[in-house]
Amino acid sequence: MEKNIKVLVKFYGYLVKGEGELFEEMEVPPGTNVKKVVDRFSRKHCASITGSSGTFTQKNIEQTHVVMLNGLSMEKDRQLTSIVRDGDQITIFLPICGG
Amino acid sequence: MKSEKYKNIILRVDLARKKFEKEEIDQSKILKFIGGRGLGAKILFDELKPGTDPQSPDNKLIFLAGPMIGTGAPWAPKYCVETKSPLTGTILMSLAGGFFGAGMRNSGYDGFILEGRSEEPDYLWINDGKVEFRKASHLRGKLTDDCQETIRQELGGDKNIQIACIGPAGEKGVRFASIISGYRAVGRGGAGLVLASKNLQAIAVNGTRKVPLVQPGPFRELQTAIRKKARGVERLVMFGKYGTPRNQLIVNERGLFPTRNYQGGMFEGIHEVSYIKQQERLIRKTTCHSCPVACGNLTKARAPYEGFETEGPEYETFWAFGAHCGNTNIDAVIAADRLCDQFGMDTISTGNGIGFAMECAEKGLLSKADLGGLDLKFGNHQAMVEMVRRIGNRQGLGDLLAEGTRRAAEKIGGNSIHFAMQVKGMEIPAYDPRGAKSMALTYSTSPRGGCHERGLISRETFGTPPYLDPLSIEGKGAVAQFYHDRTAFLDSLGYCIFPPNNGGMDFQEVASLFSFVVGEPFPELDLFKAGERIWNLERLFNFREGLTGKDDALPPRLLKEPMPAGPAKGHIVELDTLLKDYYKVRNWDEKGVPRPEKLKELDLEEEGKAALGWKKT
Repeated sequence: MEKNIKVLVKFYGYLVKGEGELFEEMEVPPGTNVKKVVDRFSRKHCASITGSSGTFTQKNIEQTHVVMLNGLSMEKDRQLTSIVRDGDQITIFLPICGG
Repeated sequence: MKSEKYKNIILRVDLARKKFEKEEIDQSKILKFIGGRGLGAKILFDELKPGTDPQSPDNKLIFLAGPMIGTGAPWAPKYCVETKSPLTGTILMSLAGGFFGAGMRNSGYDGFILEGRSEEPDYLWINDGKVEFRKASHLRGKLTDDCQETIRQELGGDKNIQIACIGPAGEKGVRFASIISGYRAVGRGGAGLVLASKNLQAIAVNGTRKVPLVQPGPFRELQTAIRKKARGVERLVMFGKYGTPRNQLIVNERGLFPTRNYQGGMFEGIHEVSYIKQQERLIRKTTCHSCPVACGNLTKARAPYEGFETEGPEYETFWAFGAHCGNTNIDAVIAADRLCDQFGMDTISTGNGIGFAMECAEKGLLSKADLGGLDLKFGNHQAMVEMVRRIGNRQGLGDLLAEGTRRAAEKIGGNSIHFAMQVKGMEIPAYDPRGAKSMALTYSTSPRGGCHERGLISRETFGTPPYLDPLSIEGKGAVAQFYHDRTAFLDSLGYCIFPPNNGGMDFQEVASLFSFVVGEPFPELDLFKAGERIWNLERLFNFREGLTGKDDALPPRLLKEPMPAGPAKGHIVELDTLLKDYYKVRNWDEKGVPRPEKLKELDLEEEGKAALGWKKT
């Protein structure tokens, strides 16, 4: 059996215990795609995230957040079929205009 | 109750003779140019003689509050100052939020046209329609906060009095001197120097005049509905929570956060100068007039910069004194931001210039004597903050940097112009266009020079939906045009661009609100047409001043040095191809000159004739 790989997930979303970022290194089997990593992250953390209308849900992330793999946005970001590699970084964020 | 018609009253002030008169702007001009930025461009085009020295009494300084300001419509605080820039020699439109714009309209005027030059330092006091010239010699040399408070006390101490003033940077001739009101700045391009050259220290406004609304009933109904809807828009609520600095981390992850004078696009020290650290120093949230979002952050520095409090720093300032200078000390960023506001000078140009000087020092283009005893290397926050003071005082190397990076590079020589990060003389801000190709079009074609605010293409910079590949050049001309025209009409109305771009309101709603203000039907498409008209008129102004399509340029670094690392690794800006596409979409010729048929379509034939010598067809 192949050894699991490590990916770093960075969440710049709404409020996570008072502040807007959460990082977690996740171990996943080889061949895992970005969507599976995002789903696993969401299931684990949604309960601890507060959105503007109360408890955050996985649906919030699917509908409103952008996912990047190593800094590049995923086109039509529901098609997250790219296979992750060891050391990849996945960023999940609520896109906002303001600069 | 319906009033007869929409009235737009401008106060024209002859500073030399201390005379003034009221003028009413014709409604047809409002429908063509909207107000604010658009109306200012029209007045400046019609009234300013080509070739005017920006610092001469012949230059005009026009303050305009767009038609939505002070109406109660949410997110419309941004008044515009229009003039010919002493930094770039181009048309300058510089906008600021806060409360001064609403104060102008409550004082009884929608704008001021300042002409000539006062013999002695003066300030203007405009209160419920009355105009008074007051002596200002005792205000010379004061920092902007002191100047504002002194004036307020002289006028009776009413907290509702709004004051826009210059500081020592304007008095000493810093080419990117700003005008400060409260903590907010008419920041870019040197409007503060033009005000100083008119010997006018400040304008104070107050009053209780009602802002004109032709159809107040439907206006209030719609603006109330917009406010209600906005409370549930996730992106807006989050924008209010953290404000603009939150996007630093996103732009850095996307690999286009300029680092050490654009030598890279990812700053390893980003988390030390982030919004999270800012929130730890938060005193309270702040807001502009009529804004339910309240994105501002009043922030307090810690040792060794205790004593500095600032509203901000905003995203660009965080960058200018953070990644751009390789600095990881957030308290130094807060101090530098506050010093810029107190001296009255633009944070982007100041920080950009210091980062430029740091690279010059690194490359041996500045001697120890040039540096005046400062160890001006990337990451040295003490030297950075001291250099802010020296620029404000025009002291030593600061005297050279106060001229702007283009002029400084011409003096320093070597290959420094290669990495002087400016366009048309204006220092560019915090998005590297090697990683966001449409932004190359905003920087290169922006009428006032290298700025982001004339078209912040958020789909590239921040990844806002719908998806757009920031590294592709396909179809970017049309994308840029859309943002440029949209920003032109939002600026002219007096809107902050962020809430409409974060789902706060759609453009049909914007058009409806405007039509209720002026009492005329105004479809959404007409807004875009007005935006296009304004953008073309501003270009005609610049062409009449002698600029050409060749001035649609970028610093050589962005065209020749591939991005060294990150998502945009290996990318340069393919500017010629991008411009070719943009000119085609704009219906400009291959040299970037608007074609006669385009000017006819926009009803700008007379202006085209004046600027380009064409005959009306």
